[in-house]
Amino acid sequence: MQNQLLENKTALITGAGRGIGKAIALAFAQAGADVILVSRTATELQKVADEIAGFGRQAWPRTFDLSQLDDIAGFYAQITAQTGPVDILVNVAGVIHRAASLDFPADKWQQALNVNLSAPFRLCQCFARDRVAAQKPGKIINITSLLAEAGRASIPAYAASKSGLKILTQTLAVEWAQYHINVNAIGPGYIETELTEPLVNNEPFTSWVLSKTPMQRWGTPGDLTGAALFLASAQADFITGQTIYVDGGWLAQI
Amino acid sequence: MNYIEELFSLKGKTASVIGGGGVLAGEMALGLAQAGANIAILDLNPDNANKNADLVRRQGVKALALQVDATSKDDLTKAEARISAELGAVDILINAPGINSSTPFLEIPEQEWDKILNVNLKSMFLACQIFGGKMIQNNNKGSIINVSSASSGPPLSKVFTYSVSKAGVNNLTQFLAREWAEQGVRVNAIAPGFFPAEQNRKILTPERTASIMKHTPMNRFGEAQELIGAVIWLASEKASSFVTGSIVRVDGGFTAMTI
Ligand SMILES: NC(=O)c1ccc[n+]([C@@H]2O[C@H](COP(=O)([O-])OP(=O)(O)OC[C@H]3O[C@@H](n4cnc5c(N)ncnc54)[C@H](OP(=O)(O)O)[C@@H]3O)[C@@H](O)[C@H]2O)c1
Repeated sequence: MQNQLLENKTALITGAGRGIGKAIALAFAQAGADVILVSRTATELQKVADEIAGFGRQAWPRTFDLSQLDDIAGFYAQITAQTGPVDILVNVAGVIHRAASLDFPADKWQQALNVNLSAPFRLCQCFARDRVAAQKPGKIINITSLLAEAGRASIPAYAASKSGLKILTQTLAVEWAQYHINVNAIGPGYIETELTEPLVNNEPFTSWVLSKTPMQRWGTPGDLTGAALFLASAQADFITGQTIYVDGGWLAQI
Repeated sequence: MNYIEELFSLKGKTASVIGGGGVLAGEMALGLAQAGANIAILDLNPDNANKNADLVRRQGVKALALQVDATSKDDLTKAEARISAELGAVDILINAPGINSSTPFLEIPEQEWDKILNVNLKSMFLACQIFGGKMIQNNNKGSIINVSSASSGPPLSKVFTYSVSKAGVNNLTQFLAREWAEQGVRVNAIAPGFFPAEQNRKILTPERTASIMKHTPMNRFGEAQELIGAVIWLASEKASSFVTGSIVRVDGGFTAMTI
């Protein structure tokens, strides 16, 4: 086993201020990577950056609102001018809005599609253009969801964006295999984070989640770091276009 | 131990690799050994079992080679007892026995159907009863990894019985994942795409190879070592604690572009 799985790698991780993105950022840094941290909240990013400095790795906290699609290319060029090329892109940032589909607000629909689907696509483009120009391999990991596999009421934009991201992952994998860019996804089950805090504290919802999760527990952000490290590493070089579910067995049963 | 070693280490674990005399499974055994596990290689062919056990031993771990007919409950029961006694209770079970045939559908003799289903599927049912049963009985956490195939569904042409057996492997994997999730025994499958191995060598004509490559975005075969990462990740309780019932495809993008 290599000592440092991600030695000399630079990763860009969106949604890195808290929850799943933060856990992946800390894991990557401990595995030897330098990390660009992106979200809208500077204070959160700074805390993660401080922890990463404690592991002796470099972190670049950068605030950016990913719903500003037309600014993404400029943002990407500007950070990579400071950090050098990115080897690993992890699209974690995501938003969810719950409302009945009959009355689902148009702006919330657009916001979810922008942040969860269009922004990852733009970032994948920026990343892959750089990699192809430099003739270097790369790894992309997109965070999707169980809800890319099944319908559930009242989250139309989330489900549409996440299932779109799943097939986008496959499309880019097929198209970019020739450039040695692996594109995979991780589909988390129900994970305890700030995004899901209202659900964790909602007794009927939590008992429904536990009844559907064979492992009988909520997942933690730490449960996802093994899969992310593996997909980012050379050990997963023949894996592309896949979604790896980390769901406590949810999808293994009806 | 650094962070990565700690997350993926299998030091002190015992792994049982059924069909471990084969090319792909032998490589998996070697990977588990490099991550620190002691290994039992079970195979019908004792020479292959011994050869791979020797390779494993060179990694500085304990290894045991056992001649076992994976379709025999009696053989598996005895093997389990010996492994427990000599290496310790089994934490990791790799189910990898597999045979294949391209007999045209209308000509498949019943015996051939029975044999392939026995070796590829019944063996896994039995091994899960015996080795998985022990994990449950001992209150041991455990990881079972079944070797499935890109042909588990939808099926490739020509390899009818093989594909049926591998569809069964996926279903068995998901059934047991749910059954044993609460007891901490995780059950997952790895579905390799196209890796040249003994089992499919005869079937890989130039035309078939060309058609496979058209469906493999990476435009190459896999190499046996490329399965090791997935095996170690799934074997490690720390690295894949919330993963069960997953079919992990290591296929150069084959299933990303092929329905
Ligand atoms: N938790 C679960 O059970 C679960 C299950 C399946 C999938 N997922 C997915 O996993 C990902 C992370 O979820 P989480 O639970 O960790 O959520 P979280 O704790 O709410 O974190 C979301 C992250 O995304 C960032 N973000 C949101 N909108 C953004 C924007 N417009 N621009 C830039 N950054 C933005 C947030 O930072 P700022 O708000 O500071 O910008 C935050 O860092 C999401 O894609 C989610 O859909 C989660």
